[in-house]
Amino acid sequence: MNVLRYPPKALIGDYARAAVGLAFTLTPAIALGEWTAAHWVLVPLAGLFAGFALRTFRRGRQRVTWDATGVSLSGPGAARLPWDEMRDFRLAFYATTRDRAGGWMQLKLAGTAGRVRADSSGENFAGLVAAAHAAARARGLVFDPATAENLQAMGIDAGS
Amino acid sequence: MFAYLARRVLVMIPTLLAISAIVFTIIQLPPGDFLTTQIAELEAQGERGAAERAQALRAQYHLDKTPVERYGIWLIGLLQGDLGWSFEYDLPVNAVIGDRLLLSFVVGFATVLFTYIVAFPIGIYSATRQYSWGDYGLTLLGFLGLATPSFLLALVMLYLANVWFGTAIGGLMDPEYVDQPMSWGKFLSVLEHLWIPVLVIGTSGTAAMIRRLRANLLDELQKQYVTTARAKGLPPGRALMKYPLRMALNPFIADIGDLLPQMISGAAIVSVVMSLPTNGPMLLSALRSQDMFLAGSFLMIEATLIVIGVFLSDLALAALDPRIRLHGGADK
Repeated sequence: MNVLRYPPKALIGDYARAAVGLAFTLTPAIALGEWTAAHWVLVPLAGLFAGFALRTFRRGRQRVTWDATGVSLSGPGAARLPWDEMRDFRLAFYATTRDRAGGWMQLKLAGTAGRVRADSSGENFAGLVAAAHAAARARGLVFDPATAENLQAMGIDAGS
Repeated sequence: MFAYLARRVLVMIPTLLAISAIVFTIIQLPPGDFLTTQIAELEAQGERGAAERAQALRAQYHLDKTPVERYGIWLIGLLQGDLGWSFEYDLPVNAVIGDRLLLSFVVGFATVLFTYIVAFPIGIYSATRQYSWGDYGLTLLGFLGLATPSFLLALVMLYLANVWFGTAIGGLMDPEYVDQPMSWGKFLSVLEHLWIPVLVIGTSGTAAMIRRLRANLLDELQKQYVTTARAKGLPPGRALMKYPLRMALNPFIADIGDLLPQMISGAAIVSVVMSLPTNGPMLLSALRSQDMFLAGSFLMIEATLIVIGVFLSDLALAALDPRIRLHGGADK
């Protein structure tokens, strides 16, 4: 059984970002007192960062496991996706710099039974991508150009 | 995508804070201020009590405080939607720029719409029929558009619009509607005058977009996946629209960051030539007269729109083309 999980070290940056975001938005929102035009911006942004903190917490409790039959997500948002029901395979890259040299990958798998997502910050991400790619190839799924190039960047030939 | 959104928003906050500090520093850099000039004029006219009045005005507008304190007061005002006081107009900045922002946005939006509506079909036609007579003709027109200075085109258009269509020269509406509240007649008058500045401001942008779209699309159409799609019998229209056109549009999506400030900046030189009541001439005037809150507000609004525009373009690119740059690397 292969496992992908998110170690605390991988999540601490996101927790820090959520905390800084909440500090930047909630502090002025509270300090301004009565409702002003700025609150229409600050309060939704505070909600966004609160959601980001919640999402990071959920990530920390999730485990993605896979074997020859399929992939499972346990913890919050649990799902099971047998390989032979997989209908969509996407590997996206989210850049943190404009030249797209730095960032992180996200694998999105979907099928009739549900969907599973995993980020490259998780341990053993490359193993999950390789297993899912082999299953997608066996199913004859077509990869979009972005997925094909991202696979190539990970050393996997989308067409082979 | 949600994580990307949160990270991207987080980057915007310190960016805007840094921009606000830079804008505030810039508007404070010239020696003296609007009040100093005003007081000097009063003293030159021999008015008594000018020094006391100057001191009172400085205290009223916090000009007697340290720069850091003034920055803090200005920033808190911005957060509360208070852009400060315009010394030149003796009105709140919000009241001074309100109508101008709207008219600038109307001109800017119409220009962007014009640019896209004209440039896209021509760019696609030129790329798909490379080296045809139509491509040569449109390329010539494009180069003419790029080479003609906007202010010169503005002067020519003003003359032609007056001689051929009888449209009043200059301005964005007939003189009787100036300083009047918005009405159906005023709206129609704006529409009647709008096409001239849109054509003048939009021509060079349209020509540049045609050239870029043509070049990008030609690059994409020569790639192997297009050849494969055609070989597999995909209809020509679909083989063009499915991926090559989307890929060719990526640079334009990346340019959204420049579009938003353009919409409110109002192409300053053309606006001066055509006497358009947009933001450009007012910003120039505010910078000249050291009307610091008015100038600072314009700069801050434009900078904020650039930051929001870049944010939107980054989101659109992440959604439409989430690709790594090959030979780059993904952080673990």
